[in-house]
Amino acid sequence: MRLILTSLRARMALSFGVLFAIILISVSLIRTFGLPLTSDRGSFGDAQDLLFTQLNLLADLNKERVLFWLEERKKDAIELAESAVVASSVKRLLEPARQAANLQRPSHEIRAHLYAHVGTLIDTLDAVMKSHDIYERIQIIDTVEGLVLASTEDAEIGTYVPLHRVAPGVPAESHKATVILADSSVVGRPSLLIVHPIPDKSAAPDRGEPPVLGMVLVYVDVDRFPKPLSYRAGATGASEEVVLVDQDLRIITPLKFALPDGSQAKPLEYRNKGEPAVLAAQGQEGVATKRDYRGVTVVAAYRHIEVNPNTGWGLAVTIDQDDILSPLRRRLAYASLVSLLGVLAAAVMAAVIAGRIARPVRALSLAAKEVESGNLNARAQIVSSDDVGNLAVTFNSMIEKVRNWHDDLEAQVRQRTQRLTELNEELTREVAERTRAEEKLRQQSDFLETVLDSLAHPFCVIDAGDYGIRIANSAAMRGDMREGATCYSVTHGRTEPCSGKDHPCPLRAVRQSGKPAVVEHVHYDKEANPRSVEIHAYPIFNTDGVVAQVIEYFLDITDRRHEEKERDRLIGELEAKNAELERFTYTVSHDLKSPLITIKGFLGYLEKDMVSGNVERLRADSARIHHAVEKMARLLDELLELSRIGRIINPPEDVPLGRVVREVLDSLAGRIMERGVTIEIPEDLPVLYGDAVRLREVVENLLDNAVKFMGDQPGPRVEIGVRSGSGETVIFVKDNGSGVDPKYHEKIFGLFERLGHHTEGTGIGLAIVRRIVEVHGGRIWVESEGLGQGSTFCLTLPTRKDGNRG
Amino acid sequence: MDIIDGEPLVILLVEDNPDHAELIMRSLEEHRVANRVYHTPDGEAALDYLFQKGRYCDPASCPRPHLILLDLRLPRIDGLEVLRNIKSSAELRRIPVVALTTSESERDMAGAYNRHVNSYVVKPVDFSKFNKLMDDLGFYWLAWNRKPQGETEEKERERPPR
Repeated sequence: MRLILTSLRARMALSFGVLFAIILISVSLIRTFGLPLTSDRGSFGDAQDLLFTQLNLLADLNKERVLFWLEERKKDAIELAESAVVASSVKRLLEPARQAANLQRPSHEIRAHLYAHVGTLIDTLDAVMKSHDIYERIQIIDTVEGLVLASTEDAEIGTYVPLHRVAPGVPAESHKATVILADSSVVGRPSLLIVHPIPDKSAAPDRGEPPVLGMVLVYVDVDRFPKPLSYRAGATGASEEVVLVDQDLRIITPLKFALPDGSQAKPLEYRNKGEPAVLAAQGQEGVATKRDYRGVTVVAAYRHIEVNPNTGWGLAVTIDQDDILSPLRRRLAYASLVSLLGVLAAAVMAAVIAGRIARPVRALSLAAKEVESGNLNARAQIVSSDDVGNLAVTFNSMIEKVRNWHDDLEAQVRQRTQRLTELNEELTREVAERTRAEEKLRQQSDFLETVLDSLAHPFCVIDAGDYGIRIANSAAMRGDMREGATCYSVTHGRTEPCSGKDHPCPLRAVRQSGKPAVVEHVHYDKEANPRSVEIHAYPIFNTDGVVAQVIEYFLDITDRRHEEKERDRLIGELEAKNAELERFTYTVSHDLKSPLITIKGFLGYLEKDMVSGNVERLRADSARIHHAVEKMARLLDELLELSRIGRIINPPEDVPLGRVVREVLDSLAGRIMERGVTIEIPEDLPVLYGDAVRLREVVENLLDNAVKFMGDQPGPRVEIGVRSGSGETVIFVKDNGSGVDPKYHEKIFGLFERLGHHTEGTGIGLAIVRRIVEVHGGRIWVESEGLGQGSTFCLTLPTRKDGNRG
Repeated sequence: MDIIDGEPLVILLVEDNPDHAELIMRSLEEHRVANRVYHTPDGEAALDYLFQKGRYCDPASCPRPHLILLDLRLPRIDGLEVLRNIKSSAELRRIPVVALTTSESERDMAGAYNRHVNSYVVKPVDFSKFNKLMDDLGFYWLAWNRKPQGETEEKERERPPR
């Protein structure tokens, strides 16, 4: 199916066919059912209208016929009843009959009586019977008892007719004709009878209704009376039927169709309960589609026929709906057939046209298929100069281009493939090269590791972000710097990065500056000895130029630091010595030159004194010369002495300080006595250990000075003692003499420093003392509040328990 | 020797060595260089004299000198310190100071000149040279050398100390 539909021809055929079909069916439907929303109701509507009209006409006609027929019968009854002959005859018959009845006379007597007098009346009745062969019999009865006074049937004369049963609802005094349908129970068989009273016109001709003498009962022959009522022309169709029912729906005329059970319905017995009959009997009139007694849908025109003032019959003319629709169906079938033929024709035509249109397209399609299958040399045949022809031309040129592209493409593909092969080979080479490079790198890495491990100094690489140790050589690992630990935990025992307050963090410094940094830390070795460690840190940058890792290596510079300290100390000492030497030279030259100038100067004056004979001045001047010479000699001696200290050393020995002090005081006894100086010495002075001669010199100098610089102190006092403090023994010589201004506390220990021009001495004494103390590894200083406040010379010297130092 | 403006010429000699002081004063006396020579034996006394403090507080007996002969090597306060004090005093800085010392030390010389000494002479050991020097010194500084008069002059602009 799909294959067919893909063909242009088939699709066109189908499309046109469907189009035609739709048009034809639409036309046909419009013709049949009319245009919607317009008054055009189509042939079906027309036919329906016609049918309704026909049915109405038929119904009206039949109704008229029934009414007319009934009127005729009534007229007959009226004629008889109002005939004067009849009235007189009845009157005549009535009187003796009533009397006989009242006298309870036997019926045969009454009948005989009636027979005797009924002769003329029966003749009249017979005449009526003979003029209308539709009557079965005619009776005249007494209204009081229902006694039959006269009858066309002789046997009935003298019998009684129960009037209330024959014509229920008919008043005895009624002056109008009444049509009555009586079933078989009344008169032996179903009957239609017309009843009319016989008025006694002679009795009261002027005042209202005349009294009733009796009743005329005209019985219609049952076999005959339906005939005039059952007109069956079949004008509208084979199924057309006219039904007539009384007020109780009993059929009056026989039915055209058998009942559903196959039996024939009997008039005046079967009740027709079809809707048209019921409606008509109830007094309604119209045309409608209803179900009839068979249950068949019919179109019915129904009419009500009023036969008596209070009773009416129903009449319906029906025709089966199927009967009506059949012509319509025929027309529809015909229209369908025509439509089908039209569709076929349209399809065939469409196919032919489509074939003609499609031929160049198909050629194009074939060419395209061939191109598709790879034949780029295929071309569409150009068969026309219309749009399709243009299309073919375009197609051909397009294929030409495609072929060109295709050729280009193939060339490009060949070129690319070639390039790809080259690249592949290059890649293979690169891979091999890389493998070699990796091998080389690995070797280098191993080499580097060996080199790092060979380093005696700890070396490690630390991550700049998390302070984690990434690489550590074996020296570093010995110091617990294992890979994965953090630098701060290992070197400073911290749980978080260092604040940098106690130690400058080399990692932080490098990270901030991006430059190598060298910092010095104090680390503690396993024996908790402080070690000075110099940390060299170098940055390793990542590709963003950010410091990612930091190389650190640690140099234990404790020894170097120690040496440096020692060197600095030595340098300091040397500088001090140099300065001292310079000062020494300077002062020596100055102090040695001074006496020379004195000597030479006064020698000059000596000559003048001699010339002038000034003996006094000559003596004084020569004394000055002597004095200067002596001073010079003493200077030279002391200088020699000073130069010996530290060079010429007596072997160290125990020197009891107490004994030395006493000996010195003995030697100074004269001066002490002269100045009246009080000396205080404690019992337990320590035993010093060192050069006994030199130590004695120290004591001598200090005590001599103490006594010498008493100033004008009235109660001079010198105290020698020992005080302990800050872990060392300090020997002191305290006086209450002239004191030393704090600004000269250091100066007084210098060479040739004298505080007063009037003081004796060369200015070498304290220099010698300091030199000796220093040579023994001790210190000396002075404590004094100032001039006049006395002074305390303190010194530390090795005691016996200190061992053999110095 | 003349008296400048009728004022007696005064020399302050600062010398700790009494023998040297005697020699200098005797020499000055012989050459009649000055009307008066005052001698102080140490730096402290020299400054007290110059600033007229302590026992030198009487201006009449302790006149302001026209020349100061200053030994550098002095007890208590040495000559360079005395020199610094003189030269940083607005009243005294115009008094010529001649360093008269035995020291030929480069350091002392530089120190003295750095403290604006006006002249630096080393005491000759030879007696005649010593006498000649004293004569020349007095003559040069008190006769040849001219100096601004008294208090009428404008204040010199202070030079920042080196």
